[in-house]
Amino acid sequence: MTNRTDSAKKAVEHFRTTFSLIKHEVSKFIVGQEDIIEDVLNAVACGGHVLLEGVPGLGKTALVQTISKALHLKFKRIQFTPDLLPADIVGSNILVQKDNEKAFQFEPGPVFCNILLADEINRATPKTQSALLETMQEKNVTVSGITHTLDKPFFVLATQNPIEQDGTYPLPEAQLDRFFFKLHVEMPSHKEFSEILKRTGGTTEPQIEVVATGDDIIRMGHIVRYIPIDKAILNYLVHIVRMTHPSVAQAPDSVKKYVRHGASPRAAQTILAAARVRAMLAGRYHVAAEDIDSVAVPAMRHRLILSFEGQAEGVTADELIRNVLSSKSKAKSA
Amino acid sequence: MAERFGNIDKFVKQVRERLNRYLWLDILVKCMCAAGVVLIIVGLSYILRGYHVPLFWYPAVLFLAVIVTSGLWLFFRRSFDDAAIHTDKHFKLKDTVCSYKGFSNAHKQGGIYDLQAGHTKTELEKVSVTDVRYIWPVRATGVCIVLMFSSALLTLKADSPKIAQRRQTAEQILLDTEQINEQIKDTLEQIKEQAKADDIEKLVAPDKLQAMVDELKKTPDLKDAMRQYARLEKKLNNVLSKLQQRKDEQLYEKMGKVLQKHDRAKALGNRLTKKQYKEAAIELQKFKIDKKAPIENQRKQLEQLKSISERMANEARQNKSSSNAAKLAKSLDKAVSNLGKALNSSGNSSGSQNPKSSQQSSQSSSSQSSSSQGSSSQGSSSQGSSSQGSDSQGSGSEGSEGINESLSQMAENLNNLDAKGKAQSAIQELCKSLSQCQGKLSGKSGNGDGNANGAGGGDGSGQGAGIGSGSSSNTNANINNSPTTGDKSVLKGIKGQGPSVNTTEAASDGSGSSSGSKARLIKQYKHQAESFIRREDVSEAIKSGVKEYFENIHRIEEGN
Repeated sequence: MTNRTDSAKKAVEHFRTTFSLIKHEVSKFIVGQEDIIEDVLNAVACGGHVLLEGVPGLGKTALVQTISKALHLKFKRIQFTPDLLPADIVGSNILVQKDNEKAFQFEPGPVFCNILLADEINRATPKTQSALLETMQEKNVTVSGITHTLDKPFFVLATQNPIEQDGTYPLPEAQLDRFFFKLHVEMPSHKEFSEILKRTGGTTEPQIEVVATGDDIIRMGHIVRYIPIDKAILNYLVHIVRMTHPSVAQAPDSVKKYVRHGASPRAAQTILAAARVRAMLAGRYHVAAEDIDSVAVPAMRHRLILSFEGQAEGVTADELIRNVLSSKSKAKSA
Repeated sequence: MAERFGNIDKFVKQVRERLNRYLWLDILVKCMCAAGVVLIIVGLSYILRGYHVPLFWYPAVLFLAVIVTSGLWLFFRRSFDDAAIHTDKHFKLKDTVCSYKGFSNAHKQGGIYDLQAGHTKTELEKVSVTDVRYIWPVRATGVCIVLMFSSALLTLKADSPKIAQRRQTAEQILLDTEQINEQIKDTLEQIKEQAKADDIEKLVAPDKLQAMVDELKKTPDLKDAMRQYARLEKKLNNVLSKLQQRKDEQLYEKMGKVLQKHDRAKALGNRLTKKQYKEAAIELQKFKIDKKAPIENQRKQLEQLKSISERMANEARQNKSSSNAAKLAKSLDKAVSNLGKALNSSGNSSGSQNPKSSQQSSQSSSSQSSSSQGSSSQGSSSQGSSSQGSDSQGSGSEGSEGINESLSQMAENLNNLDAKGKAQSAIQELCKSLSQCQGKLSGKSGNGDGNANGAGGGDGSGQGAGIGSGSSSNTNANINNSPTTGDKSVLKGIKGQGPSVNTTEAASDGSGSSSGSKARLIKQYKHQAESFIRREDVSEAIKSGVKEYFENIHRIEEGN
């Protein structure tokens, strides 16, 4: 075996080990929700942001806090409210007395951290929500014409409540597209419920150890890019993303009927990165179609804009994506 | 990489071989099903028409099925990539082999790619290629067996009685046509020998006849057979029409009758009447002027010749049917006048001088007569010489020589006429043979019987009373008459196929009794009528008349 192969093997092993350690550590506090934990960690490894959607009390915030603890990263939380201003997030220049002189000094906002918990992000006004756009994409903050670079790694883990719609501002498409995954946090099962009560009802809470650092996360992000993908599988990925567009001839009828805009190329990038992580976690060194299928729904569900007809009939993006996947897999098997 | 991970390729290759083998079997079963369906369709198509299913269809269709199977297999056979996809799918390897193939084809190696190849190899080591099994298509095989068995059962069905009879008839016709062709060839051989013997080969043109006869082929189809014989008959009729000399014969016959009344030319007249032209030519030689005879005798001969010429001229004038007759009459008139002049000059002059001029006159008359046989130019030259004779009075010996020469020429013409007659009779012999064969063939076809010939009233035109109705005996009688009478209608009647006006007309007013069944006769007449009204050269009025006639018969029958 050559050195290159050896180092590649070591890197992959490091990824797998780190990932499983973090997952294990988070699972100490978060009961169940294996998929959610894995998907959040997947996004973190790829340097992506996650939008967690679920009713209050399902442990969304707890999940984010636990991850930050396990990663030994700088964690900050912003509770989004309608009166929150962009400056409250990114920071602002304040007048300070320095050496008998008054001068403006940049006061960094809570966005200057490694893990930002944007709690109930849809409660902020669109103006405030938009303050996160540059932060999330370029990982910079520009105030008064001066660009401030954020620490690495940087992730935004946002939450939103799907039920309580009064006084909320739906996230604009541009903002949504910047999220790596949109994850639905489901109600735990009976057994999980009991376990939650057991763990949190006692006098002591599970202790979360630091199992990885920011450098580990950055390294993981690099390793992910090494995982190769065969041309045929790449074509499959492109087909799937394209088929979410109603203008594409091969798109299923449901997409043509209920979708206004399909997933963007950024969605394809997201799927590819997430599929690579999945492949590595499955012990493979290549991306399989199955990996793509497994991450397609969380990666595209927030990127599909339904038509009026789709919204009126209560069609969900998840259903449409599954339609696309099933039609594609049928074609593949044929 | 290729060496280290060669086992992967080997594995996929083995999978490919298996897949292709199974694919061939799969296609074969389906093709055999299709072959079974085809065989059943073919079998039913034969059986529904009453035929026995020929066994050659089975090996042919099965062979074709195998060929199609191989063709389809070649077209659809699995490639290496297909085998890789199948391997992944079958062993649930999650695109491992496909990815390996993709990276390998793109020559990507080292680092993570080696790890991927190693992973693929490890995965394949866990599985066995024998797990790729063929699932036999039981249902398709069952269907195939049932179809094949059903199609095999169809072969047990024999020909229907009608078809068997038809087949027998076809075989018989084939045999008959072969015999007939042989018979015609034999007849032709005889004709050739006869022509050689009679020295009429030029007129008969045996090579041409041989070419016509060589075109005949044996056939199982009655219509084809009848058609080819009809074609030959038509060609022979064309040849016969070229040899036609009926009008000349009639003219000579009438002249013969005239000459019979003359004592001196009675023998010649008899020969001409009996159409014994060769003998007539010999008789004519007797009219030559004997130069050594006394002048009185020569004068007598000239007078007789004049008298004969006058009578012949009169007869020729009366016979206006022939254009030759008019010419002959004209030339004979001149000859008579020349002979008269010659006689006058011989009468006026002394006995030693006159015979010359009379001889010359008679020469001109004879030459005129001979010119009437076909050479008008000769006639005109004779006139010229006769006019000269009256003026210049050439020598007597020259005149008698000229008359004799003319007589010889006339005799030669009569000989030609005789040869033509022989040639005609030879070809008619072939026609007769052909007609007999046609009659025999049509008689065997079962469409008619020989008793229907009575419908023709025995005039020859009744021979064609329906397809195959012509009896050989009646035909023979007419054919025997035909060389002498030259009646074309008889020749038409011989065909026995009825496409002639004469035939049908004779059939419609036929009075002959039929020993055949009534139904058969009606069928026969109906057939005749149908063939008649189909003809283009028959006017619509006649067609409608015939049609109406048979409709009336039908109506009366229905009324009864």
